[in-house]
Amino acid sequence: MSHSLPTVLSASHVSVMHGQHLAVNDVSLTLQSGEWVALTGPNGAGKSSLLKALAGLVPAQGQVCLMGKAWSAWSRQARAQTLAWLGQSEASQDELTVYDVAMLGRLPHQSWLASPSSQDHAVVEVALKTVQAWDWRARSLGQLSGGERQRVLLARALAVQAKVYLMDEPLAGVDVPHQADWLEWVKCLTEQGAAVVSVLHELNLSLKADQVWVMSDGRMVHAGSPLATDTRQAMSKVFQNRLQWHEWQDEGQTRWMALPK
Amino acid sequence: MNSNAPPTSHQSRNMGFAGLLLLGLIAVVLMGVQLGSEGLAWRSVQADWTLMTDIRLPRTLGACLAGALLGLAGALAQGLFRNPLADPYLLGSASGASLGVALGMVMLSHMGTNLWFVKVGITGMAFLGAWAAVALSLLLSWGVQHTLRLLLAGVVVGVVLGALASLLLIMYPSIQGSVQSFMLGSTAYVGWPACLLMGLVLLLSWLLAVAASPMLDGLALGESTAQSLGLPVRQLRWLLLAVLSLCTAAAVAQTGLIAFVGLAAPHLVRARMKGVHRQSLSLSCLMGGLLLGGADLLARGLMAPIELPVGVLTAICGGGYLLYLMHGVTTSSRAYKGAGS
Repeated sequence: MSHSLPTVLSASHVSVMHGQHLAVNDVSLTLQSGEWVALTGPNGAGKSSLLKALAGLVPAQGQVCLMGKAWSAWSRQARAQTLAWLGQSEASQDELTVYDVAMLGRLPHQSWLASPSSQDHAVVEVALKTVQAWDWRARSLGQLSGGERQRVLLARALAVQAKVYLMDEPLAGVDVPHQADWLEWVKCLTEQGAAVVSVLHELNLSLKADQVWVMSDGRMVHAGSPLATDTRQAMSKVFQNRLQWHEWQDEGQTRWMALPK
Repeated sequence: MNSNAPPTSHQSRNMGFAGLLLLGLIAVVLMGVQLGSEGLAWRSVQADWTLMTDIRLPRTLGACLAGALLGLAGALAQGLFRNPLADPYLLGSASGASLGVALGMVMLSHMGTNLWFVKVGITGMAFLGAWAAVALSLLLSWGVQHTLRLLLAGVVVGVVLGALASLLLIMYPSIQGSVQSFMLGSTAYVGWPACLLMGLVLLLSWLLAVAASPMLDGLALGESTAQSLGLPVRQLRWLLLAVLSLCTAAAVAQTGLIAFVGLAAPHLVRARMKGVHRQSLSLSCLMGGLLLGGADLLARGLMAPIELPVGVLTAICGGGYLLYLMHGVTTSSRAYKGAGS
């Protein structure tokens, strides 16, 4: 990835406590415009906590800057327009329609109590068509399968039209064709200059990212290209050397695939 | 539907549903005015004019207004706590109100009448008791930040204040009749001042709830998502809890403890509609009004001239509905598991 691209998100010595437990331990990082980062690591490594700290959703020590400005310098609304969050198993209320959910992504762009503008409707339409959910826009969430819900929630995040997307396990329950679609959407977003950080348990999809951040025990143990040998070594180490690596060719480029052993 | 248009069909369905509920409410009020101790009396309008305007009309309207308050409070509670079994009393307000009434009765019967209590009255004591219980729950849970802690604090406060109320009943057996009648719920003594008060509270609460409803929509997708959308979650949660408590306390103070209306109204609405909270809150108001208004009619008419306590009727009907709901949930989850396997 070119280093001349502007930094959109940076963290300096960020730590997060969950009660007495140090979930994130002194993590520093930078994220550049147009970059897709896959954040990976074993269960309990602190990935979701770090992502929440980057999104300003949990109290954290250290400093997080969005577009070069500290969190505290942002108004709530401007921050919500710039950074979109997609969390794990979000939806709980089944009577919201697919369209209503996607329209929630436009809340940061609307004045309080104002009706959605024609632009809001247009953006929601594009977001729902992108995730192929437009045809069932009038259905309620309760009528959808887990994977379909996840796509609708992704449409909600896309409707924000943010510059930074933080996604916590966006592919949980999503079938293979839609995982492939997700890769396309992320590529599309980064080509438009947005930056994406996604927590992924699908290691082989992580290896398609521009950068892989590897976490273990609350620490960022490695950040590097998915093609680099030390990235694979770091991943093997945090997963207790239970990964088996296989080489394959993708359009003339050597790629790696990880399988459990 | 135009393929490029946003889905408006469910919105017009919701409007139609609201129209039906309104018609039902009007019918309930008309029947409530005619229903006396000898059953419906359509022909004696002239003779009973004072009876109808001074007693039956405020009573029926009061039942509808109290039901609307409970329906709104129930919808708010279920949205705020993201729990379909949440009801308006979950922060201990019912036990608080009972204790308030029991205390009031003790003061009235054992300590004379020249007290500040006379100015507050039994309804005032119920109102204060309900508010004090909610305040205590909030205090014990250290604010609104942790939903589970708040719910547990509400359970603790409910149990403890309920026990204190029972203790008072044992210590002062003479107040048992009045407190029990409060706990069973009744619309018999609702007059015009109570209607006016409940109407004003309902209007204010509905406006505030609708204004803050985007927060409930955001919250339906999770606390983190609501925050990430730029919603002032903490402030709006305080506001909505205050509205919830105000609605519950106002209804309880005037009609006593009415069971299940606050729980059932939002469920009945959600079974028939889909859409955002702005719509479901308003529809829950109408549904709550219709339920309690209808229950009041039944309580007066079923065994006329004997009047059943309306709270008993709503408890029996509401319990039945809850069983039906449980059956529905079990069946659908079984069907879901079957489909997934």
